[in-house]
Amino acid sequence: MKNPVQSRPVTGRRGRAARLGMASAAVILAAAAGCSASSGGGGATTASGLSTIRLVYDWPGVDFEAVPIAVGLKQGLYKKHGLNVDLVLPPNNQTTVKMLAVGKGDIGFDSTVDVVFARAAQIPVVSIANYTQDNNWGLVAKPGTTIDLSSLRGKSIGVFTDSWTKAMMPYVLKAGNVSASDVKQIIFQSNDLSPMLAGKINIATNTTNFAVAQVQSATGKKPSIMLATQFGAPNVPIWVYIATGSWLSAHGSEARAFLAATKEALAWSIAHPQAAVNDFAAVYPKNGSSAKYNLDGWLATIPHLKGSYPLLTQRAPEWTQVVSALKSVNLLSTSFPASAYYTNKYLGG
Amino acid sequence: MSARRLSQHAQLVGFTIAAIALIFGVWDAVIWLFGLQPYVLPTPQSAISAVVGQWSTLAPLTWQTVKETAEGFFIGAAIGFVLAVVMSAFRPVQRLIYPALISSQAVPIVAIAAPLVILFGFGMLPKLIIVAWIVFFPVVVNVLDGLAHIDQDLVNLSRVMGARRTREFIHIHLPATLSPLFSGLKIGATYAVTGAVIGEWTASSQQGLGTYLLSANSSFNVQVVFGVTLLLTAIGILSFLLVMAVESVATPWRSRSTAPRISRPRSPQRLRGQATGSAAEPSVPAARGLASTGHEQ
Repeated sequence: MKNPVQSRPVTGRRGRAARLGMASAAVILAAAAGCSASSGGGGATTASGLSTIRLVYDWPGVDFEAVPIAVGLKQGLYKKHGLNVDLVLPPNNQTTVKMLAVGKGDIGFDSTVDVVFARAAQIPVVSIANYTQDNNWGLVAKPGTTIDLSSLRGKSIGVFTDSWTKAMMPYVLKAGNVSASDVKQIIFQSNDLSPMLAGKINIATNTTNFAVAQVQSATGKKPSIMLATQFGAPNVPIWVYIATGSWLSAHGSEARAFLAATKEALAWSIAHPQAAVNDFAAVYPKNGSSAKYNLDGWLATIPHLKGSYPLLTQRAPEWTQVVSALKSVNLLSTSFPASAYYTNKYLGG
Repeated sequence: MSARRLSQHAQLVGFTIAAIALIFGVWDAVIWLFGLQPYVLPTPQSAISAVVGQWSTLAPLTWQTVKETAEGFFIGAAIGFVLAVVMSAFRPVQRLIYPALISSQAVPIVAIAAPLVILFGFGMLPKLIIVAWIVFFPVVVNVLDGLAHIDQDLVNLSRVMGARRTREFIHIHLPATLSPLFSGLKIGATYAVTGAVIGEWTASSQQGLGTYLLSANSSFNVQVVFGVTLLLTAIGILSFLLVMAVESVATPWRSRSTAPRISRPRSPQRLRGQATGSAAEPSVPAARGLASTGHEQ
């Protein structure tokens, strides 16, 4: 016996469903076409004749590390070089490289290890300038306490899932003469400083500029810090400016202009920290942090921007060292000569 | 098993395989249509290969996440069910708690993550709280809804026949919660795995699939990222199917087109079933229970 529902004529409903399906497909295809069209290369020219650089940040929210960009915009330094800079915030902290690779951005602000991993994954990005000049990752403890590596056994240490932490932790363990099982590593995604201040873990790991800003905001005091370089980790910069080879081939002059303006903005921001932070608040009023936090963070960043080399300048050994550190902990299998990861060609004189 | 049942099962399996093939087909088509590179979106085949290739690493991590999902799910379901019954029985409690329940779901879990770990440490407890937090709400809402729509005639009948509150609850109220309970549980089972991942991301002394996903992502190991995502999806789907299987055993009247035969033809509920001529919803088991109550009285 036939099911009465199945034998009911359904042509009208099917017809509607088919039309609905076709309409949906058309909408999806139109959206896809729109996406493809909007993913065209950068270097778009504004009405005032400026070329727009889409700078993809390393974090989904803007923070004090963007102070020089804000200064460059507020004081017309980019404009002077014929540029306008749009800061693009990625959906998470692992998308900057991918956004550049698919043409959703022109220049990126990202970590050194991301460049190394990107090259291993055949993503054609290259670092065009350093941001910081040294390794400011380290161990962080409550203000007034002493970090003693010889008593690490049994301690709880906050760690993140990023590759930098993974590359640095073996140096911590080696210096403490302990194995991974001798300490309790607590995995965090966003914040290990609050649990450290609350006494739930003994030591946090972080970059010192963010650690100082956060702990000072919370307690009014500077945290105890031991830099990774103090226990044998390589002194390599953490943040760099990056771009893809194809974008650089087509927009070399814009890359040069961007770095020239950024260098000026950086030098001014170092010399005038308070005014620079004010510019930052004016350009990015919705940054979500207090003026004091931004100033504390920027003041803690400044020492790491200046090295024995001119601002933004890269060196081959920093790349060989970071590759070697990643290989030593089996995080990297494919590596290249240092020259494949960076170029100073766009830095000018 | 009859040939008809076998055919039904075969159809179900066939449709499931077709649905999975369709998803993978669309996935492949998107890659082809947009010309996506493997570092943006790998093929489903390479994601599966990554899972197979790293299974010795992924197996204990999968077990950890399954444990968090299952334990959190049971705790959330139990709390949700008890809360719904209490709220239904005591109206002032319902009026007091219901707005708080709704507010609880509007709070972004990431905002309370740090206080959770500071209060409860880095072990299983904060993760279980997060999973339970996600699971209990659909259970409470659905069970409350079921309890609010009980056939009042049946309640009146039971009272006329002298049934005590406990018996009334066991034979009328409780069966009436089953269908809505399973609706809530199916939603909760699917969401529970997301809760486990959020729990792992909050802070963790033990690695699971959620934390491994982040590690793989930080080293651009996109195949593993999507492979782990597939595993997490599979956990969600399997949880849903398990709840469905339990549901089909616990509520047989939902999957039958006729009411089960009742052996005592003189019971008033038998007559009621005939009068309505339907398989009836929870009233069938409820009626059977009441029939015995009536005879005992």
